[in-house]
Amino acid sequence: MSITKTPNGFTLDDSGKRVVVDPVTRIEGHMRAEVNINEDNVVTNAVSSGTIWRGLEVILKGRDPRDAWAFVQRICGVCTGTHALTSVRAVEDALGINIPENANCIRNIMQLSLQVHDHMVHFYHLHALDWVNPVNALKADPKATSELQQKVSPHHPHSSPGYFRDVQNRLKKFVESGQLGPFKNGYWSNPAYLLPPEADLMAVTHYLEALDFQKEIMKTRTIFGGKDTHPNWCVGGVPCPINVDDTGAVGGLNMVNLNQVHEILKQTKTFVDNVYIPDILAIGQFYKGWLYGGGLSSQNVLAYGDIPEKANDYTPDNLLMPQGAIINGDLSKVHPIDHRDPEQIQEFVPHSWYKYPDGVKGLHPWDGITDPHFDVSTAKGTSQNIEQLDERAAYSWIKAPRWRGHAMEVGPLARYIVGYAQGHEYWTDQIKRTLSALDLPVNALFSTLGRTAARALEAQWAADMQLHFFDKLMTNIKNGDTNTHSGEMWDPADWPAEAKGVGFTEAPRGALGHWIRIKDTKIANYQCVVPTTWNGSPRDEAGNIGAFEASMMNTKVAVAEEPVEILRNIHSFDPCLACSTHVMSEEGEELANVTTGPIGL
Amino acid sequence: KMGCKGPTTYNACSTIRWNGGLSFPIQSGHPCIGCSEDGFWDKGGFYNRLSNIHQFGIEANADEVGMGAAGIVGGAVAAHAAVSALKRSQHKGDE
Repeated sequence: MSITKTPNGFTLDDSGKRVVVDPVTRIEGHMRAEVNINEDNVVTNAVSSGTIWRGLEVILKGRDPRDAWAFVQRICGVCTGTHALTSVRAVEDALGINIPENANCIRNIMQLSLQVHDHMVHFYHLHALDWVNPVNALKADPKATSELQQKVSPHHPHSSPGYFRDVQNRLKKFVESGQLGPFKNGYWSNPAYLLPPEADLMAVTHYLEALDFQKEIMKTRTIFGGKDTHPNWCVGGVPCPINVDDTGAVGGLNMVNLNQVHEILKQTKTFVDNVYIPDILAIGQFYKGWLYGGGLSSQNVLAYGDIPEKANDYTPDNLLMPQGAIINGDLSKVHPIDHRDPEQIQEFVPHSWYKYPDGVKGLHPWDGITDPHFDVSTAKGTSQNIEQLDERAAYSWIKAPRWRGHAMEVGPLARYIVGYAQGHEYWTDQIKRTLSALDLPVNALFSTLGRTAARALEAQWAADMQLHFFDKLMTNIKNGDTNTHSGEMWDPADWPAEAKGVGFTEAPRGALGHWIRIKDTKIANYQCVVPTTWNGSPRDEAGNIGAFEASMMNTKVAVAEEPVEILRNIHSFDPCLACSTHVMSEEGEELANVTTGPIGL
Repeated sequence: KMGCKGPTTYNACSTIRWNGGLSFPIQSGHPCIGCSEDGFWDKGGFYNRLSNIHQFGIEANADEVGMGAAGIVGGAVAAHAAVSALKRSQHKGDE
């Protein structure tokens, strides 16, 4: 039993009841959370563990750098595309390759498309069930639901009482059948759910509408990239040629499929404006008193920036998503980021299942080492059945990245805070309107609710920006520029003997970077530091806790055995664990099989 | 020339296509990487010409016709044409 004060301002008390949530569901990948809860049901200690590892960085060694994007894209199918984009940028950086303007527009549209798709699917299909109670929806009055719908979103066509009655009947049959499907094992009698039945029914209806609509959003990436999930990308530009003038141009981009893209972009904007944003505001009204989960967001946030307006310029002024770091809660000072600086971004492993030759010194990704060392000798239980992790030792497959030694939060909220601090016009306007609609002060942003709202606002912005780059692309084409690929450094014979590069993006979940070293035309080293690596990070040597852990701290839980509130906090980060862990041993070390039920004490 | 693995990949991409029949990799301008073939990631690089050739026909009967450890491409066209006439001789490739 001990009380520890962390350098980043949290008081950890590991007495009280220990609650284990494993596996954490409704995330991407595999994660385990453990907390200590005191007599008032408040979380006083939090432990976040990544329970899987991935091998793609090791697999890449010795391969052609032009192939890398295809491999790393398969780190994750949810944030498909974003790793590929980061990878081609890293290779282009290393080799000094410039891409054409059209390629920049198309890449931006694909990345923005992912932002919208991912945020929407995350909110409705992964996060919503922490706020919305589908069983409670059965008590709703369809007529009152219709009135609610028309009040919160007057332009959305699906709003008649009959429509909601039909959904409700479908839901009723589903629940009565006893086979609850995605709603199984939910904590549906928990007082943490605050929506009236009509709001629940409206939200469940939109869950279904979003499930249907999301497959349309992917079609943009299918047209540009051949397929989705995992569209095709290319070092030097984009692979799709533009062919609007010649007849018989079935392949590539012509007016037919460009118009198709335009339709999808417009429908996407409509859906976000008519369904996603109004739902966030409606749900926010009922939860505005629940402001837990701020964690690190009020102190340390990090954004790399993304969406270059002009091609090949990755300096902050050219990036429509802002770049910068805020530390110690000082919004008046946004620090610049240099990905090449060995003193800025480093990864540490004192509490992770890895070994560094130099012990505790942090490593910049260009010098990254991934040497597994799985040791749960001080945990409770056996390596085949871990009952309780030991946070004083190593407890996660996720490394601890730090910016100048600070644990940082990344993601939509981090981006919006950096943008707000820098006076980003569009975002500041969105923030002001949202806070005004909910009648909340700026500080309310630093919460799980704020994180959830920022994700929605970002989707709205991304939907608008897609149309901006589509217009830009069309203007270029009309002016006679149909170039989409630069082959200038395609041939490895033209490459230097050694090169190193870094590519960065803002993935839906946060700041993403790939660092590559090329030697004799092959990949010598490749490291990915991924948003969930930042957010899911375990403690470092100084004892700083990571963003997930910080957000769980001090949260009050209504029922200790039903950690809805804890899940609500973790989910607000949109965890993607496959992305976050590095890889290990080619021999395949045996991993502890942690597949217990949702709660273990 | 771009290393398209379409000719040696068994899949329905060019007929059923993707996301409601909208497109598929070759149609959108990128070579096929053969992602439904066993070990596609180790077939000599996505942008390099074929270095291993699979016979056409029923996958279960396909023998691998490796062209030596260096993976020389030369006989690719000849092998394709000669498939039906080829006797069952096995050249152990990298595996």
